[in-house]
Amino acid sequence: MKNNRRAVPGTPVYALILLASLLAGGLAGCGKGAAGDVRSYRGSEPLLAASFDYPAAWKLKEDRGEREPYAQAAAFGPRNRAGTFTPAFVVRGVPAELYGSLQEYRDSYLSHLYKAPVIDHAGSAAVDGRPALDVTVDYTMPALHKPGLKNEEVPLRARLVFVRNGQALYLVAHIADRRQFKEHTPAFDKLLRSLRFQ
Amino acid sequence: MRRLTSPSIRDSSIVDRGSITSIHESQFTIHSNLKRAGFTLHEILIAVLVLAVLAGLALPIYWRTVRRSENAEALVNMEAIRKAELAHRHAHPAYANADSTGRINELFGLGIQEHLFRYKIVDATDSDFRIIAERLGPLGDETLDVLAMSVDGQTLPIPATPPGAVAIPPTPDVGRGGGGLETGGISVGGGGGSISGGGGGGGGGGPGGPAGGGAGGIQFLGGSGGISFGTPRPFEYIPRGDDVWSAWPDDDLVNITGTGAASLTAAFNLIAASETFDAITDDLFDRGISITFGAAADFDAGGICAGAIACFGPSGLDGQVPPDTPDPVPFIIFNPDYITESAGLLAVVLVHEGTHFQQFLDFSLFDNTQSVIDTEFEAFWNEAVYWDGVRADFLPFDTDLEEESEFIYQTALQGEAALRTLIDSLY
Repeated sequence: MKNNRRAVPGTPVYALILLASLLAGGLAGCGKGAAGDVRSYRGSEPLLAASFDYPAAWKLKEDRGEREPYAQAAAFGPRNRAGTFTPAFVVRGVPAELYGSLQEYRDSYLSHLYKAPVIDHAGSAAVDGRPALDVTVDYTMPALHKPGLKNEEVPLRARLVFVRNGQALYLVAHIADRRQFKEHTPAFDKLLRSLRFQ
Repeated sequence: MRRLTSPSIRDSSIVDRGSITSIHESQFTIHSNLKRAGFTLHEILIAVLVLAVLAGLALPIYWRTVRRSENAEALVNMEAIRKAELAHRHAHPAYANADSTGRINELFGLGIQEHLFRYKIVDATDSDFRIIAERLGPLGDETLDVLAMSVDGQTLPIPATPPGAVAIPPTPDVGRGGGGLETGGISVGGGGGSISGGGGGGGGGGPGGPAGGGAGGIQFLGGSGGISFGTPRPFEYIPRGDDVWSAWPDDDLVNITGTGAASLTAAFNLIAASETFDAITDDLFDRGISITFGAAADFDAGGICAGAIACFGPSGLDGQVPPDTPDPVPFIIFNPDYITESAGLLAVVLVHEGTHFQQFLDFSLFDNTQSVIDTEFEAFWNEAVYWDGVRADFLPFDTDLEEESEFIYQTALQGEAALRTLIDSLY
């Protein structure tokens, strides 16, 4: 009786610790589940000398500039619920000489966001050990009146990570309908962690 | 079996009824229960630590939510000021500067309070101004950070002191005629081939030189520092390949008929007057392509042009293929809901659809190696380049079509990759 009672006193504390552990474990579990299975991509272009993992269910498309120098691999995910926009993870390399610096590349991109862009976060990050600029921005795509499109306004959110590798500046981006942006963030975080420059 | 509590111990009936042994047991139990009622310092510290960790996770989210809510309040006020400033401009030769919230209220008859932000209007000219909202510190005499809104309603926050923060992104505006950049603005290298519209194919200075020759050219006003593109970036009309329909006789006809023909003819003539984009109207003229306001049903849900302002009907290739004459010939129809739209905006739309007709002429529309993204990219791109030359006439972009054109234009200025990726996300 006495011994049993001595085993009890820490219960509230242990319960709290257990709760926190379960919470943390649950969050980690959610992230893993959302990221799902992945495929690996390895670029062969000089402007896209990088490899990364992306969701296996997403459709990957490689693209090379015809009018401007760039190389890009973009993975497109499931259509948003409104049927107006397809989210994308983008890894794009451009020649460093196109912009004065990484910061100017970032500022140029931001200065051409329309309409009503609001920067939610601006800071620094590291990608494959390299210093990077990390921005999350909200903006709105106006209704587009083109055949085949729903002419509805779409609230967008983009996380833009700018990083330099040799003579190329890279934009690593997650662009999606703001209302469903969070659904893809674990997978994008995984892409960022897996990104390696050659 | 009965659970003892302190009040019951004091209850004399228990003592009266129990033996000495039971009283001793009761006392022991009481002592033990009293000891259990508290926590050791160690336990309390762990509990506090856990709570601190949980609070540390939650507080940033909370503060971010609060801050966004406060920003939203400021943006509402800034939008009210912007609209008042636009209305003010109708009766005055230029926009007005104002160095305080009180002055703004006095100028426009508004009742904006300095609750969390102090407001100003700066850099006012006859075509531009910026509204600044400075977040006030707890004592009201320091600025924590700043929001800015441009004449066309674009907003960008400007962090005050932050490591790795974004410098003030400049507000883009349009320069007309002859290009050139304002002192202290953005250096756009490469003359007519850089970010400047028209001008016939990228002549002009080298990197770092003045933007030359184009109908447009971008000025960035009021930024600290600036953006420079070290390499010229082409932003011009995409020329077409050869016409493959060599047996299709020329009609040499501006075939615009029906209700609204006057607006469409004016739009056609605006394009024809352009040194570069007249290639589109020349092609439409040579083949006598029909351009009309169509039936409303064509633009309803389920119609061939559902939701669009206009569409190009290639008529398929069931019968004749190059070099013969297509039968029936293609056409361009506009949505009658837009019959009152200005000729200038209809011209922007006609550039887009006219580019599709050009793709029909050089057969790239039917090239299996090209995707819808490729064909739409060319049409969107040409539309953006044309808009570059005329957009100043439409500031501050407050109609659906103006916003659409501006969005496509700004995306194109981010580069070919950004526009292609956008189109991929749309279709």
